[in-house]
Amino acid sequence: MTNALTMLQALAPEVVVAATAFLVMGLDLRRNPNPRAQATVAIWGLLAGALATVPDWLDTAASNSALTLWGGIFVADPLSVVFRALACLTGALVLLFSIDPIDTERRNPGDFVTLVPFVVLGLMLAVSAGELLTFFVAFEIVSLPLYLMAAWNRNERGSAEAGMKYFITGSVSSAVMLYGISLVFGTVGTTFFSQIATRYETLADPPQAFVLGSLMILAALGFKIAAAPFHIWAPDVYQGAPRPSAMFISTAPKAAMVAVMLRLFWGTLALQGRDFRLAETWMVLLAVMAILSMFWGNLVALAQTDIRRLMACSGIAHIGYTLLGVLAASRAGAELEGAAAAIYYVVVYSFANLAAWGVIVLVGWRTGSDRIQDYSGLARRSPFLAFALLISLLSLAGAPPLAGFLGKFYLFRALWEAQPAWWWMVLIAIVNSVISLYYYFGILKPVYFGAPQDQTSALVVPWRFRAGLLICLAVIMVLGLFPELTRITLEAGAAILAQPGAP
Amino acid sequence: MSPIGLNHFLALGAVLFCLGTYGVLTRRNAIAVLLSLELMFNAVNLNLVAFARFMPNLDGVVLAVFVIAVAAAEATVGVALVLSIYRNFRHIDLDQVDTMKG
Amino acid sequence: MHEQVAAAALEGAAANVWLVPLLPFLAFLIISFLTRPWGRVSAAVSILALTGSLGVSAQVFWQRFTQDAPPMQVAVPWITLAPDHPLGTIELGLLVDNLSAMMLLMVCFVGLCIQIYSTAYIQTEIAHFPTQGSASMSRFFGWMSLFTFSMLGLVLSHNLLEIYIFWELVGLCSYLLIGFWYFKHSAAEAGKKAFVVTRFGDLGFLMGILMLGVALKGFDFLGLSQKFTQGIPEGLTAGFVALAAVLIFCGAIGKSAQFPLHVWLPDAMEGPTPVSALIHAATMVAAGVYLVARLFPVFHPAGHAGEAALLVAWIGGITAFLAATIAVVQNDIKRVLAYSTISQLGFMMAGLGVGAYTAGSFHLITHAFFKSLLFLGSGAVIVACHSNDLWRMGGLRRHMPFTWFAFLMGCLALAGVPPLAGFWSKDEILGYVYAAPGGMALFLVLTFSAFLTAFYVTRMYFLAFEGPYRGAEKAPADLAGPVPPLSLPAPFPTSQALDVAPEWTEEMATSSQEDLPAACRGAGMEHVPHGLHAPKEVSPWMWGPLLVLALFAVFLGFAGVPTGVGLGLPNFFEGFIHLSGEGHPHEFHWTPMLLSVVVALAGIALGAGLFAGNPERGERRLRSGLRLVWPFLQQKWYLDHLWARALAGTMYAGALTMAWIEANLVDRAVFGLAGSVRSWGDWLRSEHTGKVQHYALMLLLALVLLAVGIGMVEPGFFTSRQFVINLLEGGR
Repeated sequence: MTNALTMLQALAPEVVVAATAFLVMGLDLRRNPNPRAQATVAIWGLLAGALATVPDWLDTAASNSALTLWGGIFVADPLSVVFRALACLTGALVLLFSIDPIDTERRNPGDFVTLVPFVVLGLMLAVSAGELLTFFVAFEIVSLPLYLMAAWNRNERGSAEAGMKYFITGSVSSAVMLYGISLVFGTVGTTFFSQIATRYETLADPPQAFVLGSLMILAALGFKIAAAPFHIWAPDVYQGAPRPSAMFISTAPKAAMVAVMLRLFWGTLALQGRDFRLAETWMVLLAVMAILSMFWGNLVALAQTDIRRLMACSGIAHIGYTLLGVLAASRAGAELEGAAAAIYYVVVYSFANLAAWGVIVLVGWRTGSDRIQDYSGLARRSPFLAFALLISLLSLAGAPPLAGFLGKFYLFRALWEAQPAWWWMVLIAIVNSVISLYYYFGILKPVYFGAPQDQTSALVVPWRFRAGLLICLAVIMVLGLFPELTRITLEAGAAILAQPGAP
Repeated sequence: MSPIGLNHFLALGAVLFCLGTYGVLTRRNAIAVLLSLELMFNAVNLNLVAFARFMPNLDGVVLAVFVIAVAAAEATVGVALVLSIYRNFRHIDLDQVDTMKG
Repeated sequence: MHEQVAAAALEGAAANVWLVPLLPFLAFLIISFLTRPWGRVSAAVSILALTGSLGVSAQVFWQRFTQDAPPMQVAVPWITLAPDHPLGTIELGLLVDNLSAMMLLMVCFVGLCIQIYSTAYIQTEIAHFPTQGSASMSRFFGWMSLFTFSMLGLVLSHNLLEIYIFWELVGLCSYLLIGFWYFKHSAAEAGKKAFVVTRFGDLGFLMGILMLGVALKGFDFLGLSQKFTQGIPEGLTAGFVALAAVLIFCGAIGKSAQFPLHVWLPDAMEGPTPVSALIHAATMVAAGVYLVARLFPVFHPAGHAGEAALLVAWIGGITAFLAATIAVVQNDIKRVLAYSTISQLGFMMAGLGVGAYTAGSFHLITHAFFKSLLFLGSGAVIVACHSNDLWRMGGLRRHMPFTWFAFLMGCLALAGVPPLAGFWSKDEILGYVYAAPGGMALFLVLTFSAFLTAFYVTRMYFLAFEGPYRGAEKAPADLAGPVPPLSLPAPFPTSQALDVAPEWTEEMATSSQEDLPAACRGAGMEHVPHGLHAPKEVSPWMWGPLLVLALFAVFLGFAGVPTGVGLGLPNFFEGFIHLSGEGHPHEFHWTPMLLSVVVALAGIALGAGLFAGNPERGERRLRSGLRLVWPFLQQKWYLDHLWARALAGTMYAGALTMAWIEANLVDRAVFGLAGSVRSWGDWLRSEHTGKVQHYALMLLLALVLLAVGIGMVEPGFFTSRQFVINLLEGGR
């Protein structure tokens, strides 16, 4: 398994992205750095990284197997392939949307461009980590640059404040996770996911330290994906951070951490066969988190007047929906469907969110405002932007025939089949979808029916934005119109989880 | 009194962790909060080293080394952010860094 | 009557059939995103794509024609709603059988002729409007491509839900193309009317689809047909099947402009003439007929009377008659053709209703050729004369020889003169109706309609092509021009809302200059004083396709000559399109054939007698002869008025009720609920204090609470005596 070729193939995406990151960094050290050229290099490098996942996919998806390196530290399986590719694409799109405003505003654009591939690298390592220490280091590779990106606008109070808040809450959650890792490691004596399962059998019953440690890891993951009750930082950070940073924070890490959650809590920590039924524990915990997230996110979003805070709240709610899939995946017999639904949902969420943020970045850059009332009359100033916002928000709201609708449908169905007794949770989720319609239409109404307030001139959409938005919209529509193809792919991706104690 | 064993180290680690948490939650000075964070990380290190001492392998020590490195990086970023706060607010009192809420 | 047929997978040329709809769709995308500024390039893209489709569909047709293969289909799951349920998976598929192969060929071929014609036509039209430029041409060809894609998808649909999707798509394209001159109020209104009226039928269609699909646990055509091979499927009553069939037929009534939903089609003539030719003559309006043919076994379950089929037959008969009478009094050349289309669609429906599967389909195909020919010819005439009004034409035979010849062939085919295409197909329907038990009354209605058809065709021909050229100056003022609408008293005079009523009634179509924006005014193509310029023959790009279509209008009929006639020709069409298991063609009767020749000639003779020498005098004599019937026909049997009253009145009453309910019940409940939801939101929002240490505290508190929660889920977790020891021992 570990001959040089296999290793090279399994690691190719990481190698490409790491090389890109260092290359971009090197370009930044020249006397007259050209941030746009750096961004172009970074975007193509990230796309190449996404492309480099294809051989891994071909090798693992068909046979439903995994390429493992160094005794299981690094795992390339279908699940990791999906999310590695997604991380690369997200990074590339974020760069596409951010380079124009960042470069125009002359705030160390080169450094910003450099950090993005590093974060992507961290995300890729995190989703393919087969071991807790590797995962933790990857998690920190993601977190530290993101703190800096949140505080990017050095001369702006809000940005500094957002960075500080993100850093302190994030560090506390890191420390909590580390403590949890130390407890888990201490009880089972290993950090490898594949061995935790076997060692777990030897523990005393009930294994409190192990459970508490796992809970702490869960809390830190919940922090990263902004799931209630660990979500409280999100609105402030999204509002204060520069728009491109907020766009990045709200998409890439969330998707990757949901994948890690699936791997950890379904594959490793939800062990059956003992008196103390861990799987049930996690299901209840995840259910609590899901319900809290949906309600908190949607209700608080109702009261927002700032579109960035609103997107933060809606993001919390969407993670709530996603957690329904994660918890359905922890039920024996329904794991494939639940996991596939969760994966489908975060993929769709990522692209819809990127499109919506693309519009927010552009409008904010051109008008300097994020107030929803300043979106009034956007349809007249730029029909294309208004259309992009319409499609992305409708997808987020779950309107057919867009992908968001099917994503919700799959989640609800997975939950229904995993836990018929929990039908009321499906009901709660539906009620929440209805609530969310209210604030999404609260944005769309001024966009389409309001009159432009101060500026009535046409908003010019630069080609980078146009291209990026078109890509996102195409994905939303194609995933929505041809769901079966994607779902088959994703079920293959989730199938790896079905093997007990899979790495 | 039994001889000093794993439990004692773990208890010390837990106490340190709680102290650090208390500091993070209550200190107003941002630098003091950073110090408290370090305390939390080091509590974990204590745990890990103690586990390693009472285990047949050295995995825990390796973990601890990595945690030290990560904590150092965290501290660097933290100090940079404190500077940025100071530049914008002219103070580093976290209680008054609340322009965004609701 | 029907026998079990097993479907095969797509093989041979049919394996490429997915290209047929895909190519026009690609053309649509290319035109929309790439070539929009360059109208001619867009036209080339569109025509090229359609040529490709035509090539593939010709291969498919040839494969089907030369091999006696069972229907072929392929389907992929599209949306899985519930994997284990028989209705849980919605499929997208392609169904290739003889009927769809023939339709593909027809749509591609006629579509190609029309698109080639349009390159010249749409340019001359665009030149009249200063605001329109090259991008308008791209818009036209983009939408034409989108329509072609939808229509081909409709033809290839493998199940009812899929056909419903394409059904709505062609409706959308029709709406877009009718309103192509969007700045004309009348065009925008006509598009809206077409869309809304057909949606009425589609509502029934959807209900019928669901009834049938849910009851029979499947939506695919072949499966449905097979379930009806032994009569009514088990567990269903004849009444249920008839109801479902009637509901599905509602969709066909709307789309194929059958009585009483035919009112949208004449107004749809607001669209550019190639659109009328393609969508409102050859293809989309035939979709309803195609649907009935597809679901033929549902309408004619073996061993049952088929109440639904009877309704189909009579709706068809009434429509054929009603539209033929109205066509007699129209002055607008396109409106004559529009009513004629409605009438001919009625013939097809009547044929399918009495079980003439082959004859109905045959008429569908021949009609597509000669009616699109007539429409394109009328477009050429309109371009030459700058008017739609028959009274401003005249004598065009000498000025436009090619157009004249092609148009004349179309007229003869429509009038049913042997041996042109229209004669054979119409006659076959008549023969079938004649032979059908209890079909005599219907036969008489249809024969009379055939007589009227011949008459109004002759009138149209003589007014446009014979005699001297009248132009705007010499047009008889009392005869020419649009029919003045009868004003309608509002059903509810208190309300402003009923201002819709006049719009529903009349002459949205013959809008004039006032509706145009200032920039376009004075340059519209209609009613421009033409002066002394004699009309000129149009460009070869326009008369070329006309002659090609004329070829088919003349000779296509020989493909379906009944064997009983004794020409020695095999009946190719019947050999190709027939119900599976239908052993031999129906008995041939000379009586209806001779009768139809007689009525056609009589109609032509009457028309020629009135309009050949002095058309003004003939028209006056006709009007005085018809007396009171004339205004009745001019007001189109007052059906638009009836619709306005019935619909608008009912809707208004409904709207008042709903408004009350909304204001007094719904709003209170909703606002009350929304208010309480918002107050919860505000309360939660106050938790975001903005202080980072509060946030950290909440994070840790949440952790502790969740830990406590685990203790509650697992009794004994914390209370266990071993808890502290376990925790500190690390469990070892």
